[in-house]
Amino acid sequence: MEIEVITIGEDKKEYIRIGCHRVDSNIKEIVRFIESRQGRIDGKDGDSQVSIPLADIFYAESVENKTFIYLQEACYESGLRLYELEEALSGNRFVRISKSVIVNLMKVESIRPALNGRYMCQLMNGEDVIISRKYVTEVKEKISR
Amino acid sequence: MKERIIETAKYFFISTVLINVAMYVTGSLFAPDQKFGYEVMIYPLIYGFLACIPSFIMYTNRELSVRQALIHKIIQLIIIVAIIEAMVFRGNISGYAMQVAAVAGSVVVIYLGVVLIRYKMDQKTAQEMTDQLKAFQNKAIS
Repeated sequence: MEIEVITIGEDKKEYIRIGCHRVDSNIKEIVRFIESRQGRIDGKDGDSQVSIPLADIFYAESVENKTFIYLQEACYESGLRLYELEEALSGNRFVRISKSVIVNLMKVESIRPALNGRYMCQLMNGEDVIISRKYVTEVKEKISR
Repeated sequence: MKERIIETAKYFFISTVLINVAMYVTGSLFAPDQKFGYEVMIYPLIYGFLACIPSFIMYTNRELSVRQALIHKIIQLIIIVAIIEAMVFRGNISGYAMQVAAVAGSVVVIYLGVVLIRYKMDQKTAQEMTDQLKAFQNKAIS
């Protein structure tokens, strides 16, 4: 696939156009990636597709090979694996806090100690998620930038 | 492995200090006139080292739930009590019920002291992280 990047005038709206023979899984993945960079990500609510604003996400969790995205009250399934989601969200305010959870740092109310050198994040919706020992340094680095 | 060594080292140093304090307090109360040689200075280090063995062996990278972590700690404590009792009484505990109970009690108090100090250290770190997080959030909004 050829890639062409052109500069357009400030007065025009920026766009990305993909020319392809058919919309297959690779194209869908590229679209999902671009959407995630623009501040939205796809999720599934049963059979229907939803576009979720990144700013509304509290955390994402992997449960039995499925990835779920948690909002204030709603929960959607993501078509991405957790590591793919982590890559897609890496430039944003999200950080991996355990083997199975990525959290939106903008939705964390406070951090308190838990047993065994781990920490508990209290989210703004009242939920708690654990920062495991392995990821404490990574979280510290991210928030001290 | 690095993380396991760091965690065990923290336990070792805190335990050793608390064992020293316990030896000073119990010695002053029950045998204030007792005199010792230099060899007594090595005992807190030996007991501290022995107390760290279960923590080192039972260290797990698994993400335990709070309940599992609590059970893990209780099992560790029981093993530490058994090791220290074996070291102090060398298998001869008959007729020493009071002393055995006193040693077990001291180990439990020291272990709880270690857990409390670690918790306080973690609490300080958590507060620092919360402050940094608030600064991060404010910076991101502005």
